[in-house]
Amino acid sequence: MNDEFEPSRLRRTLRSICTISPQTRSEELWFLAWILAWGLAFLLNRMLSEVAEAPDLLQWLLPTLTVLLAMLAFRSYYRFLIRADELTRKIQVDGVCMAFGLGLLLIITTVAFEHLGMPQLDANSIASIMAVAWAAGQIWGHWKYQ
Amino acid sequence: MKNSLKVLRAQHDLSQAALADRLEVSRQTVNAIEKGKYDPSLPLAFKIARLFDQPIESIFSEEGSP
Repeated sequence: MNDEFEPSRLRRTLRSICTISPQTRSEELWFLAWILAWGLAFLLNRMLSEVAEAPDLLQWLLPTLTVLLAMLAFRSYYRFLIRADELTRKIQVDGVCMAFGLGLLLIITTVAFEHLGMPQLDANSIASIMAVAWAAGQIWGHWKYQ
Repeated sequence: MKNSLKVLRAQHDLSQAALADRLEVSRQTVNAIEKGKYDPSLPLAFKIARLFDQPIESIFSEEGSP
């Protein structure tokens, strides 16, 4: 038994974030693969929108691929959540809750103050903020249970 | 809630990782339970009790109880 050495809380937090559980290894790796592929497709899609003369087929193909990859990422994440152990699931749900809450709050705030000239956030900005809030929720959750 | 998981684990000469493996949870879960930062669900508490062949109330007790 080698539990006497106690690394710092920060190190333990980082280690638990980076640890892939044997029960959910497959889902976690697939989620990572799909999310990276989706990110790439998303960037290509944005670049395509700036090219006026893009072929018709590509104009349909790339957005369809982006949506498909996002769906696959969502499916892997959902499977991971179902197979994860109870504490991991709790941490994940905390993160999702923070992301959802912050996203909703931003939308409500910008709409409520629209008449006073508050700039409206586009869908990409809201999604980015929600992703950051989700990541922050994960880190906070892992930190809390160390 | 307080518990004697760490003591039981030491008595059975199990590492946190080995116990986590036996309980089919992450090592972080075992660590959080031992430190009293997370109270396990009833199914997991029963699983722990079964594994150590002890009644559940001898492993988990309310904070402040003798």
